[in-house]
Amino acid sequence: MIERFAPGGFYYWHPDETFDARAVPLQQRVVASLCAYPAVYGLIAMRCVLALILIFGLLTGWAESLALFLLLSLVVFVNVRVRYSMEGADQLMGILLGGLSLASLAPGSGMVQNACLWFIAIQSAMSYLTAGISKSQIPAWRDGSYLMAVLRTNQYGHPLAARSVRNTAMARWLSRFIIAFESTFPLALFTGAPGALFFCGLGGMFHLMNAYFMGLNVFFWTFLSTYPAVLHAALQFQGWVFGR
Amino acid sequence: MLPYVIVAVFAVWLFVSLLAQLPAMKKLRSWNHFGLIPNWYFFTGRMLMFDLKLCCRDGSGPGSYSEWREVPLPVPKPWWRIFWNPRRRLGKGLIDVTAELLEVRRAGKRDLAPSTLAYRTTLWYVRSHRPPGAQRDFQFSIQSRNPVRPSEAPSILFLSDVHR
Repeated sequence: MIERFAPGGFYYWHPDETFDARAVPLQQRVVASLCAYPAVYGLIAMRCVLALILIFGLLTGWAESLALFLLLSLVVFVNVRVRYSMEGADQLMGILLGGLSLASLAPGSGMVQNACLWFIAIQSAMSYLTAGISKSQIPAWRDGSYLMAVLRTNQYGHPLAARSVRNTAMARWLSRFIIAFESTFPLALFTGAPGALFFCGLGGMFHLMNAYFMGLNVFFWTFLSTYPAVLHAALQFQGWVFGR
Repeated sequence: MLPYVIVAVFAVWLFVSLLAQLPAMKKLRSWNHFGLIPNWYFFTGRMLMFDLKLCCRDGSGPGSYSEWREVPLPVPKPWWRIFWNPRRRLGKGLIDVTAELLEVRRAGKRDLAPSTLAYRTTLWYVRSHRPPGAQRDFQFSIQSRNPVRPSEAPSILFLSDVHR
């Protein structure tokens, strides 16, 4: 994939020909100079190294905080650099890293840690809710024709998935199920542990299917990484309301 | 003091994120240059219902062109894509570029399209993939095909200027 940043690749930015100073926003010109080929490879490598360091917990305290902010900056750089190709999962990744970076500034504060978990849980719930409600406003989603078409495209389709929604009634009910699941996901925060486990289980299966059939693999990892925060929020809400 | 500031930042960020989801606040989402104000409208664009093709043709004289040929933007589907699937982004790149070019045209600013990053990125990519010995002049187009009705001829969504 990284060869796409090299000359001839879709993400290659030619220093003289890609930009028109009248039309390109300032931050893209700044990023362009920082992320020119082949320097962009260094940023991608640094992002991998920082992610591994954080996954294995090799840093603590201010060093960990610094690493998180650095990783967040790199994610933002790449979001701007790979402007055409961004997905919802990339946005969530930035939000997760932003939340974790902020929380790392006050590691001893229970209030901040709790606020961070609620922030992530609400962002996650809001993403499903918005996606569900916006789909419900589209007639092609409600009658199943949107899903039928998307599952036949080269980009997001799969022969097996396309065959399984060949029937209009099947496509319509599957579309309505997706709309209902996404629109009701915020209930996970307010229905205690059983509700949270139900919605997270359903969400896990939903993203697994999307990863396999539609190729949306980053959604699987990113959205599932918010589920512990969803569970935390649900348990805390249950404690507030029912006192247990 | 610091914990209260951090909690306030979380609250403001959440509030702005919430506002950005409201249809009336579409403008707010367009400021999201750093990807930190989310846009959670997944799979609602009409364009995702179509197969897009990036095509190029050569010009051999005034008004005389070759047939359209597809510029490769492969979207392989390996069985391990659930773990590792970066090449899917090329197809998404074409979708995003097309959306931006159509938005410029919808706004009645077609003349400005060649100065946009979307146009220039596509132009540079097409130019890099022209076969050796091709005619000097060329033009690119983005075409769409309905996957539900594959026998229908593709339609041209965007036609570039002639370049050399």
